[in-house]
Amino acid sequence: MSFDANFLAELLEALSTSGLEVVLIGNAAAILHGVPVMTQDVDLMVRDHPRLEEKLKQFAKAFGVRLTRPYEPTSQVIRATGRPVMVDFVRTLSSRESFASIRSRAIRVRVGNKMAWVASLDDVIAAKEAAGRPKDNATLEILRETRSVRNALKNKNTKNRE
Amino acid sequence: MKKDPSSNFASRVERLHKRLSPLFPNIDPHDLEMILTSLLRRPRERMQMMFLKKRKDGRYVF
Repeated sequence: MSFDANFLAELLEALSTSGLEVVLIGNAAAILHGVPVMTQDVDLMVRDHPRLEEKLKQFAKAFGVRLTRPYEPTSQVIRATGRPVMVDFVRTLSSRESFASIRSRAIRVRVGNKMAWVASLDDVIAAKEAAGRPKDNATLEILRETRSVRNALKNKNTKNRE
Repeated sequence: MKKDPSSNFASRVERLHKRLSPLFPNIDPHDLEMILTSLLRRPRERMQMMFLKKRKDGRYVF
């Protein structure tokens, strides 16, 4: 496996060990849908839980990272640093969709011997549209273009089968 | 003679590019090629180059 795939596999292992339920969102999710972009971090939507803080501490220990809250009080992002790629946890999305609703539309992708929940491309785009930050707007065009091409390919495949 | 798999992949991208480019006149042809190349890869292959990694000296590497 490549460094990046290994990193994801290790991350999923640590998440599973600590009992955190997550859905991959942001550009990392977009890449797994086939969008030709790169990213500096992994964004995860985490299911809120009364013992979330405790589980996050277990995760930090298992993954060898330090947890910070870089944007408080304006944002409640919890950032894991100390590895070559940062991992950001969010409990809510700008699109205001709940964890359950994001996961109901997510796809499953195999990473090593684990399965990852990956938010649908529509949800990734909706969250970026709602966030409206310059860095989100910068990638929206390629995200939308990839979605259109993917849909055209799907239609072509469907027609070929008919 | 058996065709090289990378050449098969490139021909598939080229064929689809020809077929789809009239449907997407607003997408830059080079971007369309990048999109098709990326969409035709398997998820495992998409994971090969996802992250820009920050080195200890502050520089980023693929």
